[in-house]
Amino acid sequence: MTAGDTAAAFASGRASAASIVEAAFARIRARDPLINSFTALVEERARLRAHALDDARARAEPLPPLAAVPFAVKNLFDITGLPTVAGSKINRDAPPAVRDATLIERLEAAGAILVGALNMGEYAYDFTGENVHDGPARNPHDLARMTGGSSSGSAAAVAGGLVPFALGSDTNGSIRVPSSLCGLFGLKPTYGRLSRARTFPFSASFDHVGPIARSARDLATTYDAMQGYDADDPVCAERNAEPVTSVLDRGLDGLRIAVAGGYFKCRAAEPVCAVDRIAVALGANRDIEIPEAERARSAAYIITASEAASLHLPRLRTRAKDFDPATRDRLIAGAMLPASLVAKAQKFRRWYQQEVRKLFAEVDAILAPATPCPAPLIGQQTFKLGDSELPLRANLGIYTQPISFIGLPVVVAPVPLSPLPIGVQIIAAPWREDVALRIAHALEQQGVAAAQRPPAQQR
Amino acid sequence: MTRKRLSRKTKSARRARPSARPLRSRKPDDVSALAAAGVKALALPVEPAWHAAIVFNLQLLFKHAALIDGFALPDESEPAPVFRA
Repeated sequence: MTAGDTAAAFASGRASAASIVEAAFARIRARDPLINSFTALVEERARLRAHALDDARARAEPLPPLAAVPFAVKNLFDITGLPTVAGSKINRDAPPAVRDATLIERLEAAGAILVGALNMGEYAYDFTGENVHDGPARNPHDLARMTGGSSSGSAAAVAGGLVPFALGSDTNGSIRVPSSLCGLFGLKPTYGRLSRARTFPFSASFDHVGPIARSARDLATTYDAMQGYDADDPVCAERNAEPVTSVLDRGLDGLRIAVAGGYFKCRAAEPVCAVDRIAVALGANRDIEIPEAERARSAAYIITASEAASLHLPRLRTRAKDFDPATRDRLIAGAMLPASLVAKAQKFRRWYQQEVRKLFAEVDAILAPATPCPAPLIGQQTFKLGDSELPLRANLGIYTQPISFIGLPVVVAPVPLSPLPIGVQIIAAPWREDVALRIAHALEQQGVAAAQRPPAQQR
Repeated sequence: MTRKRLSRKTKSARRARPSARPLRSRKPDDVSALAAAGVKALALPVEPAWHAAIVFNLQLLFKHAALIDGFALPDESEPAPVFRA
């Protein structure tokens, strides 16, 4: 069920919040031993919330929009009473959080019920979904395959039907890559739109948070519940909430949509097929070049390495052996990057932002592949892109990095190819999440984009 | 499907051309020496067995950095350390 279906079942009296929550825990107990998406459950807390909602309904109180909808969060969000592990071994020794992350507070204020914390790549420095401490999250479409990362558990839990939606974070593609590989809708909002307060950081100047769900409407509803200024996040924009749920049905209504050319012209069959299907459905018959996208990706790569190294330097000095070696070696390398080159990358970033902003005078949205391939096998080290054999870990985000680098809002729309789904990025101008969500919703209405259920759930 | 290509050449794009002599990717020996010295300077407790992977990653970072270093920007360019979308 979608979040909307669940909230409607509760509001109409067809299901109690208690039964909805118990059903979620039953699904998690039955399926998660295979999917490996959850790292912690908050059963007592969830049951208390459910009973409170059932009591509110019995008293005929007005019900909030997400009443009784179970959800879970990537384990870098603070949950009161739990250490915020951020996919690591080291943070298991951290004291329990004393307050929930802002977005959990806002979702619960809107009636949603937190059921647990989700697996992720260590310290979010990951595109694969593999984790040496907790084991890999497994793709519900094929358990031998990667979920993508680093919001691996978030995508696996939603694709596996365990919860209707989940929260993830996205620095270089960590919502968009797993949404693509698991065939889900994902929203990376504009940088500064949603509060990151009380989440564990990765690369602060790129860190975003957002929802992963099974429909564009669920993205919109959950996003609306989370919007608004938060003084606890120093980069949260001082903007009023700009609700999008009410404008979803406006349709395409003259939107100018182009396909990203040049760097984004993928040389693999599935991404090309997915972008073409979506472009045809939208009547997007123009190509547009995002200037210097390859350089933007490189700049994102080195700023990430530098900021992440700065964040983890104390832990590298005291607990280097407790990192995943693949994370540790990249962080140590990042610590030795000359500051002059990082400063140059930041200057380039402003130039690139200004150039890309001009494109939005010509178009309202740009389509691009989300990943260069569908879900690879767990443990796979390389993949073919055209005639080249590329390292997988470093390159799953080649199409997402140049976009988050300048904070543009993106919705990933899943295209249900066979045997595996793959996503397409719908990229909009800063602060125009509404445009990307309207397009994703229109594609869903046409049946071109869909979060198809994995085979095990269809039986 | 036939798509039109949107032409876009801007003043700032013309001004910001790659420089004539960009940074080259460093040789593995140079990067190895930098890595060995860097871990000492930063007081990082690195085991010998980790060195090769650190050098590989540092080499990759320099490859990416070369693309940025080779892109000419005006002296007045402002960095975006606190980014606003």
